[in-house]
Amino acid sequence: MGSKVRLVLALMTILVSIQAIVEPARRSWGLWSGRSGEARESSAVLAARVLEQGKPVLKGVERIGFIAERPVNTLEPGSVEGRLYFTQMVLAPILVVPEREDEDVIGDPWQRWALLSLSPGYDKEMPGLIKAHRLMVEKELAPRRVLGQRVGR
Amino acid sequence: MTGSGLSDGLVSGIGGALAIGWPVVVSMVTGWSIVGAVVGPGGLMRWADRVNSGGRDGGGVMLRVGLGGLVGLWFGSMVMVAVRYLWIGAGQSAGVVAELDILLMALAVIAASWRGGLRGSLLGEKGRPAAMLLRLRERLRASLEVWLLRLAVLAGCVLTLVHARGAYLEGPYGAFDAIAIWNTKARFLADEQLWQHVFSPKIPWTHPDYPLLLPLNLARLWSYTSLCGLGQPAWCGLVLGLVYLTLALMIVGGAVSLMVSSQREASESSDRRGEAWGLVAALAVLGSPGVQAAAVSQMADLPVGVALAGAVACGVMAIPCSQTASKNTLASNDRVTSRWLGLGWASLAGLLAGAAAWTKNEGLLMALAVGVGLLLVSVVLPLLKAVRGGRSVDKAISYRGLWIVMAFVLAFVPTGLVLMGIKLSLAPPTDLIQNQSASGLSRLLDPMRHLQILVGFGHAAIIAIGWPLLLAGLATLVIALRSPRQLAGPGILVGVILAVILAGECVVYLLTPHDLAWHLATSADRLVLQLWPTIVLGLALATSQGVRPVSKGSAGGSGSPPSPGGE
Repeated sequence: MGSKVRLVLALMTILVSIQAIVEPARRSWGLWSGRSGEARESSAVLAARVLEQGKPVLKGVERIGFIAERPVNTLEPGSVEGRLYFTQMVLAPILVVPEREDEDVIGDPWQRWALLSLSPGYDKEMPGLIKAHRLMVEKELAPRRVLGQRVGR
Repeated sequence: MTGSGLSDGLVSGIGGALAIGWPVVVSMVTGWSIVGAVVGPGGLMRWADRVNSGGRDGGGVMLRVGLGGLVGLWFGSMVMVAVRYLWIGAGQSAGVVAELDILLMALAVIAASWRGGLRGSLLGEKGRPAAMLLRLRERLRASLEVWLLRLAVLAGCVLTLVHARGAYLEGPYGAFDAIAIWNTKARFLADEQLWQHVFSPKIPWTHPDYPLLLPLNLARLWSYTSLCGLGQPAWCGLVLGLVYLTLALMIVGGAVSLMVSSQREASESSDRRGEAWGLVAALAVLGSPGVQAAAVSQMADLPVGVALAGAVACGVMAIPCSQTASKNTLASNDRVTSRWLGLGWASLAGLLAGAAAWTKNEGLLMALAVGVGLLLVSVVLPLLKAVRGGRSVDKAISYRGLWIVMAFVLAFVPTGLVLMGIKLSLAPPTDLIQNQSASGLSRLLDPMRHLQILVGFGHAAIIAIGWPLLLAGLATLVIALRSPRQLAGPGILVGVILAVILAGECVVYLLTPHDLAWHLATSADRLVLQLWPTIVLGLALATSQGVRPVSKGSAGGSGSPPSPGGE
């Protein structure tokens, strides 16, 4: 192995070592700083606030990813995207209620079971959110307090 | 916090650690023993130990722990399948799972003991505790460079834990797919009455056709936490993700370290060189943005990638064993042992390829790719070489190579049968097949789609691997290609496997019934991430001159098989 190759390998070793430290540090910092100020407010508190005030929590939607990239009002109730959106909205730490009442999704006992199946963990970690879940299910997700109408419009 | 609150929290924390630590340890011991029984320090590995002059490198221990962990998790999922399908212990399945785990562990330890003696199988061939401590002290002495690399790995791991904690607080059930698919499946599977509804077409967003290794293992962990009165806590999913990250580091780092140090005559400097290469490989895995995200996302992409890397590492080990077994310079006794050793490694490769297929649908393609790679390198290429050398086909064909492929296939069969049973009897067809139309051929030949996929994969590589590691990887590839002979053996095998997988994934994208841009944007970076541990393994092996020996005079010089845990 020539000296140039050794030099390149040494430089790569340094680069790889730095990257292995920087990457998790960067992500940790991103998560920490992302929760600063208003956004640091716990998900449970946010969820409770949505229920009380009926106002959207836009920060939550921004974090949701590809579903949020599509205007919510273009999602067909019962479609895969619509159900994914709904699932995400209900199960994610941020509570956003879909625009329309979707009997097809909510009325199905297995789907409801699937949605509720994830709740127990929240009992301990996010008491506010589990309460929100129960309220939503009890009222069959009435379509009023909602973010859906505002996203994408 | 009050005094009683603090003590309650402490008790709960200790209970939680025990509840989840116990099944993880049971899996590790089971897998470690099975690996020991197949290619361990006793029995089959004596030959390898001898030609390796002792196999001083610690990479063998790392590799064996890593492979053992994967094998143990595979067995853990199969225990859950047996309990659910056969309705074993209906009404008390959590306790039955724990009992079956212990039974399986005991059988595995007995099998390993039968192969090489209990102490040898559990601690290594020369595993006296005093000697182990002495070797540990020796190993701690290292050059400044190696110490810096060790510290970098340690720092990276600590920061990853900090990252994991932050991610957990952000979303206890992980990323989108973890919530919508994997954790939801695990919730169903953890319920002994309702588990079959995991295949219900009424919840299409969970992809009822997906394989179940990850959710079954999560359900298994939850059965232990339930036994301890902790319910089904969300953090079990995160712990499982971190276990897989640890296994990835051990397998990639351990395999590279072991093979680099075994290519030279055993000495302290070759051990250190092997360790340094192994640490750099582990850092390359740890520093990837995709791996960092996947480790805490509770999704199945890292597990399937680790299973592939494990299968490839075993495949790489199997081939030198097979080739060495045909050398006339070896005594007949050694030839026999080497042949069996090759079959053992190939069996492990088949088992882990099955684990990949049992984790995600793309794992089936990975298993096929490993099989094709083994066939090509152990049968087809030697055949072509021999025919070119003037030998007839019937004399040139490598029956040992065929046995290697056969062992791989046979070890894959149990997983294949379970998968087939589920896919044919319970799960609906995958959306990629169900929604196919007659326009598939036109999509396959559309040049714009080819270009779009190429660009999509390039973009995905930047996201999943990141610029720094991408540049390092390309530079390593250039160095490896400067001397094509370095690519012989393991380089070709890893290259063929990756090529087959990428080709298969391209075909899936070409034929996808979904919008191609959407499909690429939501999955290509995860596919690249799944391959990254294997890419690191291949690049490190190729650049570090593969497994060729420096000394050709010794019996064990010709590609002697390394010894996992053969200390």
